[in-house]
This record gives sequence, structure tokens and C-alpha cells, in this order.
Amino acid sequence: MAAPAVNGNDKEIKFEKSPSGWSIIFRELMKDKLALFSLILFFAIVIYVFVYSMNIGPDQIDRIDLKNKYSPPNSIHWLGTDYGGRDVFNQLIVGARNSLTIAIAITLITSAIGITLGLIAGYFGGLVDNIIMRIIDFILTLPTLMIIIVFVTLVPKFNVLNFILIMSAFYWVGKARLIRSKTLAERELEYVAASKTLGTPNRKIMLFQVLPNLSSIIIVNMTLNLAGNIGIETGLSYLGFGLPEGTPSLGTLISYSRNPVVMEEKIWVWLPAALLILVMMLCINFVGQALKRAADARQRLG
Amino acid sequence: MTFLRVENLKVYYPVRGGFFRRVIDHVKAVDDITLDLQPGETYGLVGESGCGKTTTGRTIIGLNKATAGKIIFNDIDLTRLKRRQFHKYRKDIQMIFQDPYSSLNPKKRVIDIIAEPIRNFEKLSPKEERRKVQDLMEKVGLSPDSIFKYPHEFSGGQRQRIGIARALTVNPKIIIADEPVSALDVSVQAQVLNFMKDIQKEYNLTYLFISHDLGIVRHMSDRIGIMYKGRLVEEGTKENIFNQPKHIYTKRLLAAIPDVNPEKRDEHLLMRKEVNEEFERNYEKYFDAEGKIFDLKKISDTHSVALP
Repeated sequence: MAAPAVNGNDKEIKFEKSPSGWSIIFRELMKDKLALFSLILFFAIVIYVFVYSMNIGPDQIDRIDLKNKYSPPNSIHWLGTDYGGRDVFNQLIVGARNSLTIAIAITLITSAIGITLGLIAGYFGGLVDNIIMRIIDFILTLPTLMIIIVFVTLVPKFNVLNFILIMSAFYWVGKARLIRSKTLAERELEYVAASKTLGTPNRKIMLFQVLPNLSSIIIVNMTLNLAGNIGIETGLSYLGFGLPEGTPSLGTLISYSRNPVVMEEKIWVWLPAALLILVMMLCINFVGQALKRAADARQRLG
Repeated sequence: MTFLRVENLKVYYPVRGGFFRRVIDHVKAVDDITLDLQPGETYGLVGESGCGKTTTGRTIIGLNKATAGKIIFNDIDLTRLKRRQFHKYRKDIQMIFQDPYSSLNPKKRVIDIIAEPIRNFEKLSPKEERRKVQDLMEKVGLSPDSIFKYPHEFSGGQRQRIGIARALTVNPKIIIADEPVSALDVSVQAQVLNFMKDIQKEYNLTYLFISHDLGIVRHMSDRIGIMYKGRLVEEGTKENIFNQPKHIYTKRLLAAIPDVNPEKRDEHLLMRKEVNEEFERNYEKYFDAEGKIFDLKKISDTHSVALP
């Protein structure tokens, strides 16, 4: 190589990133003030919940104080107490942490399984696709909610981990189908054929060529799924098939309202949890909508 | 020693039907074609759309599976190799794709696109790799500073040149150009074609030039094969094909080239009518009872025609 060329190339080339990926999402969020506010609020809630709950020991949640049962909000118990005199605010924070942990874990696990299997099925097609899709079809035909309820009643020691695993076992199928359908469209494009002729192995093409092109769909889907998973968890807990009472969740707090007296006269027990769910779901959905628009150039605001 | 020889290549696609999705028929995309490529030449493969010319190219490079036949490259039959063994020959045969828009990954920067084969075949440090990519960018007439841009920031002609640069990175011996300019407008076509001719001389490349545009093929090719319904109907040097077309299909193709001279319009029309009449009158002479094309027969050293 000639010396001048070396010198010429040694000078740093300015790294000009064109508007793509994160910057588009960022611009979209800046344009959509509601989504930006939602995002900040959601992260504030999440951080507050996780940080504050670290200071709450189990004895603080479980401590029964029968003299103070159903005491309305006051300076010691910010949100009052429940039928056992337990502090509602502490339960709300720990419950929100449990609900969020479950929702986030389910979202991550289902995404990991769904993306892997969806990519493999869509990319290779043929027999592999057939086998994976028949398994997915089988799981789809199962009455998911019934099985989860039966599982919850059968398992003697039920905790957060069990709950995450049983939910993840059923909810990855939708994601796998979505990823597969997008991969099917993507692998017909010439750049995949080009990568093959350039000697790139299949797994590299899948991970580094096809997957980045699905990133926007995955981000949008994960966000909206997170809201859905919070809903599923609280719904099951409300019905009494979620976490046991010792581990509070937003659903268990709301389920106190099944008692008509609590429902009508002791609204401080269940209303904060209901509002927290509402706020979080709305936040996630607003952010999700903004991400969805960012993924589709025709709908973009910014 | 043969450089690249395609021998009795067949690519059939099964047509499934009936209750058990049995194979009831085959689509004969490529039906028994034989062609030879000499080092340094440009072989033009011409035909109407759907005649199997792209399938031929993609089969040679290994994107489609050959049903039967041989692809002999440096005395080795590529169709019989396992994927791992084939990897060695990947470098020597590269491809330029038809659509410069979908053939570049929109999420990758130019440096990643062009360096992809380097990362697969050569171990270079990031610095060396960047220098090589910049050299290639310069060679294909693009600014070496734009290696961190994304494909959508380039025009169609520039994108096609990025595609060419990518094919050139591993110093291939053969480049299969699958209608490399059909997605570009005419002014850019000439630019890209002349550039391809320049790098052919520089790297001593062999082109298999697939196109449906006879004007471009005439400009580019040394030898030409005319394909029709998955078979070669005529093969010869550029002069053989354009000056002494023997097969009626070749004549029809040549007659379809528009004549820009308005004074000769009537003459041209008459010629086209003549060719069409000959086609209707002598159809049996050129095609057998099932409408199939006959095997190629040599009529001179360089010229072969599919006649009975």
C-alpha cells in the first residue's frame, strides 16, 4: 500500500449516523409529548417501586395489627390499612414490584423463545418450519387460561418464578408466529441471497442481517406485550389464581374489593392499585403507539 | 482444463397437487443446457423473462439446487460438493444482483456491506479492512468518506456500484451479473456498464452477463447464448448472432429491437412482418411435435443452432 494512502486513511473519518433506528424513535418521542411524558412517568414509577421496595422487609408487609384494621389514610399509614391492619402503601409498592417483575420477565422470556423459533422457522422454511408451526398450532388450540388456573391450584408451593414459567410456556407462540411471518417476507429479499453468495453462514445471516430488519416490530410488540402481561397477571391474581396472599401483587390488592363492604366504604384499600395499573397501562400504550408510528414511515410525526 | 463449464444442467421445480400433494408435474425452469466460459470473456445470456436465464445464474452460484447436470469449475463439479467444501469456491464466483434496492441490507452501513465477504474469507484488522473498503469505494467511483453511510443515502447507480464493489472484494474469477442495469435509468446504465468493462480488464474477470436487453448484450458480450423456455436455441459469437441469426426465435428477438431511424421505419416493419410469417409458416421446422426446442448443433466453429 502506498504511503500517502495510509496517511490519508489514518485521519479519523467523522462518524455520521443517518436517521435510523434509535434516532427515529427519539425524534418520534420528542414530537409526541404525551408519549414522552408517559415514558418518563413510567420509568419514574418503575425506578421508585424497585428502589423503595428494597427497603421493605417481609415483616413490614405481613405485620398484622388488629387494632388498626381498616384505618383510613393517615400520617403513619399513607394509604390506610387492610383487614389485618397491614399497611396498604407498602403492599402497593411490593405488589407493583411483583407485578412488574412478572410482566417484564414474561415479556423477555416469551420474546427470546418467540424470536429464536420464529426466525428459525421463517428462515429455513420447509420441514423445520412445518414442525415448529405444528407445535405452535397445538399450543394455540389449548385453553391457555384454564391450564394456568389448573396448574396454579395443583402446585403446592406457588411463587413468582413458577408463575413466570407457566405463563411464558404459553405466551411465546404469538410472538413466534409474528416473527416467522416477517422473516418469511424478509428472506425473499435479495440481500439475504447476496449474503449467501458472499459466504456468510446461515446463523450469521439470521442474527446479523435479518434480525436487525425486524427490530422495529420486535420493540413495538414487546412494549405492547408488556402492558398486556401486566393485565394478565393482575387479572389472574384478582380471580384468586395468581400469587398467594403472602406475596402481594396489584391484582391481590384489587381483589379485596370483592368484599362489598370494602368496595363501597374502604376504597383506599383497592383504589390506589387500580389507579396504578391504569396509569402504567396507559403510559406503556402511549409509548407503544409512538414506537409503532416510528416503525412505519407513513405514520411518523417527526 | 475447463474454466467454467455448465453441462446438461437441469433445474426442475415440482408441481404438487391432488389430495396428498403428490408431485404431478415439473416446471422445467432450466432444461438441459450446456455452456462454456473462457477466462476473460463476457458471455451474454439472453432471453425473454421467465426463460430460465436467472435460474441458470443462480444455480451456478449455488443459490438454487441443480436437479441434474454438472457445473464444472477448474475441473471440479460444484453440484456434488458439500456446503463446507463449496465454501472454498465461493470466493471465485460472485454475483451482481438485479435490484440495487433490495440487494443491500437497509440496516447496514456501506462499510459493513462491502466488508462482509472480507470478514468471511480473510482475517483483517479493522484498520486494514477499512482501508480496503475505502480503496474499493474509490475504485467504483464513490467517495471513500461515505463508508459510514446507509444504502438509502445513495442513488440507484451508486447502490449498484456498491453491489459491484462488494462482489469485487474477494477478487473473484467469475462474476455473474444478473441484469445488473435493468433497474437503472438509461444514462446511469451506460455509466455502470462501461465501469464493468473497465474493471473486467483490470481484474481479468469473466462475466456471465444475464440480460433481456439485446442492445446492452451487444455492447458487453463476446459470445451470446439465446435462451427460450429453459433451453438454448442459439449460441455463437456476437457477430454470429447479430449478423447471421439462424433460429427463428433469435430472428424474432432481433426483429423486436426498435429502429430509431424514422426513414427506415417501413423497411423495419416489413422485416418484422416477414419474420413473423416465417415463424408461422415454418414453426414445425424449428420446434418438435411437443413444441420443444431441439438440441444444439454446431454449424461452424463458433456457431450452434437448435435445429433438427
